Amino acid sequence: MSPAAPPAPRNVPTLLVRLQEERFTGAVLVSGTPGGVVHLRRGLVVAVETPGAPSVETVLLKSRRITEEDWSAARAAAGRTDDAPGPAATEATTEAAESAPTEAADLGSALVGHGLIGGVELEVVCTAAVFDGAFAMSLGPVESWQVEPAAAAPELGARPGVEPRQLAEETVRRGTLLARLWGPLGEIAEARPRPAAQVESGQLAPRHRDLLLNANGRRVPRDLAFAVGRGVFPVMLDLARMRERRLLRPEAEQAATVPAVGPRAPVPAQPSAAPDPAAALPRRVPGDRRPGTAPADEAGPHRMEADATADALRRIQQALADSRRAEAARHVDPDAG
Amino acid sequence: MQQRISSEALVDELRRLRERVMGVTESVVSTADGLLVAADTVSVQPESLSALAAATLALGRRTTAEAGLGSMRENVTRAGGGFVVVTAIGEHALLVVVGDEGLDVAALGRECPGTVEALGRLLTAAAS
Repeated sequence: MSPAAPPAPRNVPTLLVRLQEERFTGAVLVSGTPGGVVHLRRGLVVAVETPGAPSVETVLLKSRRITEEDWSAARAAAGRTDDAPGPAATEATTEAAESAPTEAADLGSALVGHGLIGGVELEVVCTAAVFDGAFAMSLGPVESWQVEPAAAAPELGARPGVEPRQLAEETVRRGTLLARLWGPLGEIAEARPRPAAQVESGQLAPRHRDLLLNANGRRVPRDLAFAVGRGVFPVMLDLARMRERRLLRPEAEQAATVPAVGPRAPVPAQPSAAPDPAAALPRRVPGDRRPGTAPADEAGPHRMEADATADALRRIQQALADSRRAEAARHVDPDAG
Repeated sequence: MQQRISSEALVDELRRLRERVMGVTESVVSTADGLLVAADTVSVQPESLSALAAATLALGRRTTAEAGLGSMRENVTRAGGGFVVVTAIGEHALLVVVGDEGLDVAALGRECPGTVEALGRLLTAAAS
């Protein structure tokens, strides 16, 4: 504890405020549950990556706002420096001298340039993801953090970014609101809701219906957010309101049976393919023996399994060799070039 | 009645993994040659997943051996909508974990060895 050094920040919000004063560019790696990475650019929070909340990519793809193919095309274009349409290209060059890690791949400009999303809408989604990520990280304990100035810039970020103080205040406001509507935050985060017994879907907003369709008693709000491609906070808020309207059965039923959806047959408790009750694992039986007719000998199944694997690999190797030969033939052929 | 695998104990272990690691959605235990042993699933076909995972594991082992990287630890496949992670449970069984895009891969890496050990114990106990 030297008098020259300022005291270490007590928590991540305090750290972020200090980093803003330093106009820090880089990342803060937060370990915890869920933990995550907070990206800053000149002191402002531009992105929060955490397993606890859907990323901008997840929100845009899961909600089918942008298709997987279009996304991949934009990402490929962003990797090429000569194809960076939009005003960000000039901005990047002027800023390159100041900020250490430059945004080499500007996916945002490519998405806008390809006409997949409007610049303002992308800005809104990116900013919402920053707030949502911070809120998700606030739901669990933080173990430690590490400031990483050399971290790569995020693929997509809010411009110019969110002030750390504003981010902290909004995170607290969200927590307080949910606690008032529902209960302790830890409880909300752990809830695995199911639809109530009778729900008239006609009166439901589409986003409430989406949530009900995905609320299968296994998913916590975070999982629902990923499933529908929306933020964790808006999903929790909707769940709180749906709970008030008695659309949900929030109690976590620790049923031993696996809930089944769709038309498929339920999972058998014991796979019927196990012919020998003494055998721990189900076994493959040779074609001339039917399951349950004869006790399997000890050495047979494992040797067979090894043979089957070796056989499959031989066939794969053969296929690979064939395709390699075919490709080599194409290269030799002067007309194919 | 001789002792059989307690499918319930295996499923309990799978559920614990899902509840501990953010982003895990479904999981399956199968034999190394692809027969279903236990499943904690809702939307995937556990039998199909078992069979495909067995091929994935065998191929991953051969590929890492070919590349001279030593023994394979796990096979992670990343897709647009999430992850599939295949890990061996000893010589004769395997664990398949399906996760969403936000799967906490670091937490899975921490939790998986314990889960694999517990599953292996349950399987061995049932065999003896």
